[in-house]
Amino acid sequence: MNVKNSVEPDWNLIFLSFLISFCIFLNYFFWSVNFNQIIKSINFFTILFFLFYFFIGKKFKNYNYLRLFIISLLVLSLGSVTVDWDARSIWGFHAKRIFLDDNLYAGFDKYMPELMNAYPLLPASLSATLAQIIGHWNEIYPKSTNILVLLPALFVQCSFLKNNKSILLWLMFILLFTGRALVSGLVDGLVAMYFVTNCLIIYNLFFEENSIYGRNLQEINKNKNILFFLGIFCGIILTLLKNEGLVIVMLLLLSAFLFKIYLKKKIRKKEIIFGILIFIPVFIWKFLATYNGIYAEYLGTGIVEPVIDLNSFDRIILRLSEINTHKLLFKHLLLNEKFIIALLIFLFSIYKSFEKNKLIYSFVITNALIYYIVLYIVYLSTPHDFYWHVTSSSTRVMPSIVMILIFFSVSTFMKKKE
Amino acid sequence: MYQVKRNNLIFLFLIVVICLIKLFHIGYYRINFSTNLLFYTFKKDFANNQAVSDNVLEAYQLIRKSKISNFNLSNKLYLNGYFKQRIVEFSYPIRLDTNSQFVLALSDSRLTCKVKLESKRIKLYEC
Repeated sequence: MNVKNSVEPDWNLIFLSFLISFCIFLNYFFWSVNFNQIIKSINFFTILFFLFYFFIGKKFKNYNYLRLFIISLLVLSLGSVTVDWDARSIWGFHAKRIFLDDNLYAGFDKYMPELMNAYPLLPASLSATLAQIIGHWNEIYPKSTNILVLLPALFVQCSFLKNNKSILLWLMFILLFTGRALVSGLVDGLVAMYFVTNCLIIYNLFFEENSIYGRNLQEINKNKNILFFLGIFCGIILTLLKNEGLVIVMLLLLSAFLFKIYLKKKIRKKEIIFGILIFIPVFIWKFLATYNGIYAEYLGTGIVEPVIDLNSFDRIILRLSEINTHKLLFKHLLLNEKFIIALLIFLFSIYKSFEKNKLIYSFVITNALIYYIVLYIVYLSTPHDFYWHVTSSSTRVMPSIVMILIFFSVSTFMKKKE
Repeated sequence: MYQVKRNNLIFLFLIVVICLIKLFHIGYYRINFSTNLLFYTFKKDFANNQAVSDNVLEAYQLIRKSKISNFNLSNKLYLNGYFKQRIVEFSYPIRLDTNSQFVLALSDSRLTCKVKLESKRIKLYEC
């Protein structure tokens, strides 16, 4: 085994991440089957206990930067009012509805269909649990639960980074590129962070052969299983964050299986089960939404001129032929300053350490590129005004690509320096 | 060895400084962080006036005072995307219903209905 190129993540932090991700999923599950409030509250306090354990546990004494980072995000989130449009009208409103109606499926009554009732509601359900514990709603604290949802993703990323220097560097990039989105109640920052984490876990589960899982067979098996189930829960969380999350998980798994075929590696039964388990909760949600007549806007006909009454395919064809469409997309998806910086860092990292990390770079590039193409198609098919949609949302969706490029640049480049 | 340690410290110091600057930037310029909000973060109805405009706040108070279960908006308010969106979120579980007999309108509007309640900027009509 090539010792220099081996990967030994911090298994304690990964185990903690697994426990928190499991509790976050449990909270959603308890809401989905309408469990008693006391059970949901106990589960919420368990998440807080795990966070507290991270702050005081001797096993995590090397993560002081991460501790400060989490505290800073919590302070910022708890010390600001929710004002962003989507944070209020989609995520905050749905959380309020779940809390006041005491029902995860409150949106299925078709009240205000323009407020995306078909969106999955995992972060909103955690806000609703906190609101139940507090006993009333206000315009400040509910969004802070997004920081708790962030924890598993953040812990996994930091556990795979080699030392404090790389962790601090990565935390700096998080602050620079998605910091605001993480504390303002938007879900886009979480999508970006979970994109990175799921890419990292899937790569390690499917391809990495130099991972050190432990010193003896028992420890190796235990850690392999933890990573497997952590991958499932992180995948579930990403699919239940937003529709983009579902698309991202589909892309990651599809590209992973295609890479396996290309590399002539055997696709194991465990990997297929992994793929199936991730999609079960979101498919149940989508099924229930469709059964109750709640559909994603994208599947409907155009709602503004010149695409009024056109279906998705016709909208794409119409806009493909317009040069201004491409100019606008080029301006917002390619000339985005964060994207350009990330691309430069990524190219520098490839230049410095491509030989040893061919596979991981290829995997990251493939996923970033496919997601980029998906974004292009999504914008072309929007039922809304094209200009309004691109200008109002491109800055929110680009961080997903930006973060994945930067994380793998930091991790591979710092590994090389070691 | 000493040189490497010194370079590492300089590197870490720089990154910490950038992180601190960015935290302050996000806090004070991007999300209007305030220590007052932090201390009263769990207080009921705290900072409602910072979350929505005065129009929305007044409309909500009229709705709450009149103890109605639904309301409608005048044409002018209905076409105001910000007002419509915010009053829907803010007044929930009281719902916007286009068939409601209670109509919110700006105080300078003239509706042929009875004024039920009014404030400086908003009137609640019963039609």
